[in-house]
Amino acid sequence: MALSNYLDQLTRFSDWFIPSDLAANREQREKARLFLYSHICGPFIGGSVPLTIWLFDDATDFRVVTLFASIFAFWIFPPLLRTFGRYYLVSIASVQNLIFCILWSCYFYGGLSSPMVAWVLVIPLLSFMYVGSSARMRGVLIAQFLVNGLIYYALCNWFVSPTVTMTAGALEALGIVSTAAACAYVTMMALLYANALASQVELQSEVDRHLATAADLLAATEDARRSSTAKSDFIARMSHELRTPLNAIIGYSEILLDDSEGDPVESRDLDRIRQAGKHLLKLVNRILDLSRIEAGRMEKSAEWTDCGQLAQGVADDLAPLAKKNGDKIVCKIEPGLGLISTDAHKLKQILGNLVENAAQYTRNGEIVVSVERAQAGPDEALQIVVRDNGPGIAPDRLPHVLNNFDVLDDDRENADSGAGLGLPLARRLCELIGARLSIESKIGKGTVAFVRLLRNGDATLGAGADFGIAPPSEDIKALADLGAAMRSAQSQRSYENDQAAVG
Amino acid sequence: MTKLLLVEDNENNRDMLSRRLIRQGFEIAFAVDGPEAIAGAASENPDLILMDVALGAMSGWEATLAIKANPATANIPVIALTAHALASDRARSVEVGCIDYDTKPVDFPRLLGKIHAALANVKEAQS
Repeated sequence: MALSNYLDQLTRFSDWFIPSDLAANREQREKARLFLYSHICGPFIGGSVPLTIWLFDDATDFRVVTLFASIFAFWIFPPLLRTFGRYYLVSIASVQNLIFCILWSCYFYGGLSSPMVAWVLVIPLLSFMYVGSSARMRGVLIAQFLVNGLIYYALCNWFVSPTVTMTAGALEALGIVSTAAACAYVTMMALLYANALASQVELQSEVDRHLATAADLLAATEDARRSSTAKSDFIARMSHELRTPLNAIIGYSEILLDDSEGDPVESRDLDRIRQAGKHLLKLVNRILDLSRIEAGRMEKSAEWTDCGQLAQGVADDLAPLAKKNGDKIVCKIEPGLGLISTDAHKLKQILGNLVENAAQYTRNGEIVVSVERAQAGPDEALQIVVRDNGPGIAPDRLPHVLNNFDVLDDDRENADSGAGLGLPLARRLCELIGARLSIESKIGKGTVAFVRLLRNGDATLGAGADFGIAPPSEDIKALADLGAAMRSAQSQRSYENDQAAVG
Repeated sequence: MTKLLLVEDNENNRDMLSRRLIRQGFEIAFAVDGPEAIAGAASENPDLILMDVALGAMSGWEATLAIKANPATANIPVIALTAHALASDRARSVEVGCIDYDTKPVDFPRLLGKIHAALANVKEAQS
């Protein structure tokens, strides 16, 4: 416990010398730490050698002073590293100092039989520890060793190693101190290295665990995506299969209606069958459209469109429906809007859904469809506003009405032809053609829906603005909603409901 | 009497549409797939063809291409009937030489309007 505390303190002290760019890379930081440990602790251990010489050798001269100086010179390297940051250069300089002090002591104190020869082993051990895995630096180190070895060999040939002035007993003591110090030094470095290795292994296994988790998550996402696509495919196919028998129901009821002139009861019943069939077909078509959009299979096109004319067309188409609730549809079209390039069919669907929704909830009121230049944002060119003076939507429900399959709970009996599909479909279609849909509402006052068509680039309205097409959103959750809503639509849309709607 | 060739593989649809067209005073010939449509166009010599595009092995568009390739039947106007109001369907219909197109389920008054317009168009071209 106490030892690890000291180690922590040593690490904190060492880290103070590590420049931030080295500290950012884990491998570099570990190397720099080993470098600093050895430089901070090394002189305390290595210093025992010149100390012993100084104590036992009568002739205290430049040899032992130089040795002292070169050993404590190691303490210069940590501040150098902090100041200049050139880690490899500082390492090479430090290695050079190490070689110098070891060869110096060997040369003056016994040559090849010097008690300090054991320290030669420390040179490669420390050097390679400092440079780590860099192949280039390893090469530099080997070259450095060779050059130093050659110079030492040459010097020994030219100048014969001086005779040792110490006594045999003093030399023996020096041998014991030097070997013990070398052992202690190597032991310290080996332990520190083992610690660093252990923490690295721990980190690696942590990284492996995270990678495995990431792979699992990726696989799960892929599974979810696949199953949601499969669900959309299934719904698209099913909806198509549902249309064929529905066409027969609608078609034959129309034929029978043609034949049943004169009998009001029969005509009314047949008309109810026809209306119910058409209603069901509308639901099926909306589900089909939603699932096609969500499966990314809804096509889109662009053509020059007169939005005013388009809005007027929608208003005319839905006037009979509005009349049932005593509503009036009014179109207000700003003059001189010109043509815009957009998917006219989808825009018509969007407007149809918005107007139909407004007509559904409004009683004896007015639905105003305005087509005008957009005022909100510079990227918007044109807006179509559908405003009603119906009951309005409560603030807490407002954020949800554009989500799939939300019907107004408090007005469920009136929600007869949408099953909450109209507004979500309008939202999806808007996303598909690159338009913005937003809804504002006030209880008792009415509801306003804005469709803002976006300007693409610097095209000008009037001369013919070009509108960008946004990619379909990939909302996996919405697909889950789709399945849930199909179930709720089945349970809610009973025949009785339809009959109430028609009657 | 104006003769229409109704190309439709679904029996219910064929029955419904033909009964309503006959009531409007048209004479109706039938084909249930692409090869029959091509043969019928030549043998029945109809004034107009109503072509369902989803026909199975040979699509209504392929059949239309063959009819347009035969000089004897090339002038017969074809109205394509598709399940969806897709822009690509519309484009393909025009590409293979259809004079018009409509979506199923059929909105009968609208289809009737398109039939009359197509026939008037051909008459005008001939005169």
